[in-house]
Amino acid sequence: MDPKRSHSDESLLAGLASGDPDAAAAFVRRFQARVFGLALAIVGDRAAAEEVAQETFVRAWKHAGGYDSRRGAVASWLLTIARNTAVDASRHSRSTPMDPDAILALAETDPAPNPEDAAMTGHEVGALREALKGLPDDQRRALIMAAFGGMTVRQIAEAEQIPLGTAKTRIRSGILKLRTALEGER
Amino acid sequence: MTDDDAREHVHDLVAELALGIASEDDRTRALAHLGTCLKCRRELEDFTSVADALLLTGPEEAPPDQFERKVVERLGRTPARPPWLRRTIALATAAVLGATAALVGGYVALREDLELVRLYKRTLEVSDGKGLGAFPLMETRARRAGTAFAYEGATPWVFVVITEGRRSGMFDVQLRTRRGHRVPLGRVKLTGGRGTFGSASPISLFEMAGLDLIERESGTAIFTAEVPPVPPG
Repeated sequence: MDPKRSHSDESLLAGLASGDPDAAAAFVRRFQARVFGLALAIVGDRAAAEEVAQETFVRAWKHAGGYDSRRGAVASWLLTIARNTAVDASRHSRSTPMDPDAILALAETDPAPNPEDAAMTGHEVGALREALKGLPDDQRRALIMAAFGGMTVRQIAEAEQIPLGTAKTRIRSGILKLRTALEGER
Repeated sequence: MTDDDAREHVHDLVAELALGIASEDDRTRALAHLGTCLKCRRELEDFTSVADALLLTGPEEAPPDQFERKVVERLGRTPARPPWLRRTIALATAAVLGATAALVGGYVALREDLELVRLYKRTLEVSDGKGLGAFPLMETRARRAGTAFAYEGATPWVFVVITEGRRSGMFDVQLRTRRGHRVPLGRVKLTGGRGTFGSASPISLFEMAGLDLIERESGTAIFTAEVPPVPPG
């Protein structure tokens, strides 16, 4: 762990759950760039993304007591909340499904590894990004639409104009390849 | 929905479950199967790990000025989750611990039950769930046959996993409400004393008094789970 981190993600979350304002502020500071970045990529509007990001931290506070570290890292748990909140907001504000190409642009971003990232090493994040780029285009598109856009298999099939079974296969094949890549790094 | 129905298509659903994009019907079918299929359960855990890691590769962007201050102020204005809801989750886990501890070989059953509860909770969180209850399913007063799970989400769900039953055959699954009414949910077939069942529930977790599996041949409630009342908050 980075020596500059005086508190683990879990301890900050516990502090958030107990109502400690200092822990809450530190928790928000630690994760705000990731949460806002993901929200902005999904909703495409800064004002809406700010509202989504705020709501994400409120939901995290409400459900913090139910977090179980054996189910996954704090960052992943929080970003799942952010993803779902952003997808819900996106559905309410537009009558048509979100633009997959906008979500696909996420695959082209390559931010510097977060030095405070305790969930995965920078090396693992980089390896996973490379594995994602190395996927066949159709599998990468389907996975990104699902993981970041929260699109169902049916929505993906309609967007890509492919049969439902093909969409399912692309997602499953993509995730199997990424699993292999992750296993190689651990 | 019976175990035979649940065994189909679940292989194709594991990736969707892990990514949180499965429909509610598909989720019910898959989760009922996962209750007794270790292979699919392990695959779901692996895929969930990948799905979680994928989110960590997303972009970062500095939020607008004063974002941190606004969030902390908003937290100060937001009502906390009711204490009775936190106790419900604790009670549910305690129910599993208390009932299982009395069994021979209870440690193995306890570990599997808690893993299953964690898996269900993780998977059902996409429904903005408010609580998961796990209650021992008893065949006699002292003999536990399985576990009943009740989930309070956007749509309440009930799952029943029978692993140690002494009876086989067809059973009607019914809920008992706190007002004394009976709510039929469907049927389950037990083979070799084992089976799974899953269904949306027309009543919430907090209205449930218990769940019964009634043997169709005799009309007798053979398997029973009691749901403790939620303490007033």
